[in-house]
Amino acid sequence: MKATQVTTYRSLQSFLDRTSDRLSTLQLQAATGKKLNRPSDDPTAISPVLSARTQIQASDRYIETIDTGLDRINNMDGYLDGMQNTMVRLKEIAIAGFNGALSPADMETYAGEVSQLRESLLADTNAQVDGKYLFGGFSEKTVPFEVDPAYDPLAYDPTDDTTWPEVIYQGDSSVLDFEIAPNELISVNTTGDRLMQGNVDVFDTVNQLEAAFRNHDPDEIATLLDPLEEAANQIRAERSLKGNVGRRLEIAGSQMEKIKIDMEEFRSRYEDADILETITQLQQQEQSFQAALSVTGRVSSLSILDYI
Amino acid sequence: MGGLNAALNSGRTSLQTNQKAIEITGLNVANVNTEGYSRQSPHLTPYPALAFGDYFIGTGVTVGSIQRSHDVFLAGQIKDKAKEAGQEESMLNPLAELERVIGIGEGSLSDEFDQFFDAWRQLSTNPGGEVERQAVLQRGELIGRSFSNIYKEIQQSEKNINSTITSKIDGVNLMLDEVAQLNTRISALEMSGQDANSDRDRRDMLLKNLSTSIGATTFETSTGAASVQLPNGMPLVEMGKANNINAVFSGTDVNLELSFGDSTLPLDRNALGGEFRGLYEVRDVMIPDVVDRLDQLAYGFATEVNAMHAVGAGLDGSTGQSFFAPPGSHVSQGYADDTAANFAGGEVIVNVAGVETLVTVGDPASLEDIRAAIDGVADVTASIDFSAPDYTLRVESTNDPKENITIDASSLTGETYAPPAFSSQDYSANLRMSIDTTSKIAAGQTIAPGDNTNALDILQLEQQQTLGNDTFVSYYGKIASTVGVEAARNRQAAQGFQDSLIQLENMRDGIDGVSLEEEMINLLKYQRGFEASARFLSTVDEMMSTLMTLKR
Repeated sequence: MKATQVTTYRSLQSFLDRTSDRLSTLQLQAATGKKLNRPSDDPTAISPVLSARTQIQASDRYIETIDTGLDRINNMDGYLDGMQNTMVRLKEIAIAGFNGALSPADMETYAGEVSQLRESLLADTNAQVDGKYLFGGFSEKTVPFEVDPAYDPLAYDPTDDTTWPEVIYQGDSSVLDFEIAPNELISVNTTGDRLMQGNVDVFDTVNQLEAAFRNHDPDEIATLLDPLEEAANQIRAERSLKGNVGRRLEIAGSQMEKIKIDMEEFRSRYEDADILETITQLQQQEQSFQAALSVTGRVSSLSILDYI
Repeated sequence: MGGLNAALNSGRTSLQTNQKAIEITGLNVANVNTEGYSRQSPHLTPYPALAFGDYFIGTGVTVGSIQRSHDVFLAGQIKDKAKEAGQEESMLNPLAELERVIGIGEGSLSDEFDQFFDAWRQLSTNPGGEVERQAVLQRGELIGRSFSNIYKEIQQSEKNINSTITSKIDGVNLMLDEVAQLNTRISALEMSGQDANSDRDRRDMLLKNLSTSIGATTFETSTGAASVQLPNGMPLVEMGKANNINAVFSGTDVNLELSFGDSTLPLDRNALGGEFRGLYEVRDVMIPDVVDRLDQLAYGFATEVNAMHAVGAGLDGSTGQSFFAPPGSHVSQGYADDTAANFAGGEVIVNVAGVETLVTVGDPASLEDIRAAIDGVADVTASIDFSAPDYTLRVESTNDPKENITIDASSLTGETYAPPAFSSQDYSANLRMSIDTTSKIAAGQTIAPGDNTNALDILQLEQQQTLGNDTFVSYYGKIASTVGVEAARNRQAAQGFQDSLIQLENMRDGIDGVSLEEEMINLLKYQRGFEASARFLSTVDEMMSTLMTLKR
């Protein structure tokens, strides 16, 4: 068998084609930093890469959800703190009213303050963040607590509890869950009915206190000390419950960050090109391409025609 | 005196013969780069010897014939490999196209799924938010568009394949006609005792090209004519007669048929080889499979999301709403028999716009029994379609507009037939939104703006294995893997066949091709022969002159 001009060039051509093809593949890998650029690059890696991407995307969103949840919890905590202080002040007033021999004028003054404090409680429970009521359950567009519209201040009679400013809850008792990890839901709200109308109806107790002061009745005030403490406890319990949720959210957040990093690593293992390796291979291919080119040049300079 | 005259004559033949040989060498050198050219060489024979007294002395030399170097085995091998290489190489481009469409990079369909559920996840943290609701609507729209884009692009590559087929078929017919003409010429020439070397070269090249494009097989008859056939044995060229292949258009599809005078014979992909087989393989096997699975993905995705969405309530109080426009028909896979009791009994759950109805199917059941059980229940009709060789169960909503239906028949398992699973043909092209206002998005199960319970339920679909053992994303991943595996195999195979084809052609050229070195040396050889004969003639001439001077 002879090597003819045609066979030599055909072989060289095919070698050059193949080397330049490999070269361009490596160049693409180096440029994109990925070894998985099309499905056929590694069909077995597709499934893990896609599922890792899904998880990374979800983790990002979980982290944002957790932050939103934390914002909510922190906002709520501020308002709950205000309510707790109000309850402390109410108890102080109650103790003053039951201990000291107060003049009727002082009693009236205290009654006025109790009424003010009720207003402050009402304002705190109707707290809004971003136009949404915090303590209304799912009914975030409805004012959770409102004084009974039938209440007439002029007809107020401390001895007749039907004329008192009754506070009505208009929200619902739904639990707002956030998904903070796959299949993990955590409740990030406290509904007004649990908070103010659980075992003790806080507003009712405050109304009783006001009436007791207006009636100048220290004995009645004394009987209200325990319900007041209970009402304060009710609010405190909810607050500490949400404090725990806040703690859990923080832990879940840092966990989710770690999971995300792990998933990134996992995805990278299947999808990203080892740049060092790619560059080394690129240099190798370039060298062999150069060699092939110089051989091709050499072949054409070698001819029998120069010797006869 | 006869001796010297005879020597003059023999010198003349030598001059002529060497000249002829140099001409042939020149022809070889001229064709050094001609594809398919086979080296020709003069076959030199001495003239018959004459008796001179006691001796027989030759009377010169002549070119007995011009031989064409030809290796039948290698030519056959090349045709064989050309057919395989043609098939694989023709698939390269359509598969690369398909791979690009079923992409896995950013912006691929799997990304759209992630984004879609991300929008719902965002909505779950602020279910009443207008911005979040807009995002969900938009993502729904985009994923529908993504599906139909993929569908359209696949249709486009199918069209490209069809136009490749029609443009190539003309070339094939021309080649077939030319082979028929060459057949006639070669047998006529060779019958009269002449060489038909260049015609044979030309025909060999055409036959190789025919093998590449349609996988034609060839054998040579005793008259020197080439008989060309399709891989399934149908004759393409017999002696001087070629049967043409025609492209037949049905809708956008192109099919081929072989015409014998008045009658025609349709050619399916099994009748073909080479490039046409490769194109048919992608068009008739690969693409329908991908489209079918894409339809199933779109169908499963839309019906699952719809069923979940219908349970919830929008901000405007609407309930039972489909998120995506529900598919018009729900067609099961095909079964060979509609009356044989090949299903186990059980309960089929028919969910129409979020309302579930349990249908009991007795044990054992036939497809007809299942149809009868479902038909008329909860605003759906069920019918059995027959398109050879299979029976399929079709379920449709009787309401207008169509309502979302999901049919869970997975409990009918355990007998000969697998339980019916439903899909809708070409649904991926038609996946679009059913709702168009943000207030209709059912984030909650109540009308309350803060209710995110339904959004949380829809989120579960992301990780649920709703399509057999697959989530939406992993199902898409499987489609991409199938295309990837096929493309990788095809690239390897094309490379391999290309390599062996180059190897074989090198071998052929090593034997039959023109080597410049060889030709140059032959040139020297014949030139020297010519010079020597000239010198011989001048010697004989001198001898004759010597004789002439004797008489003076």
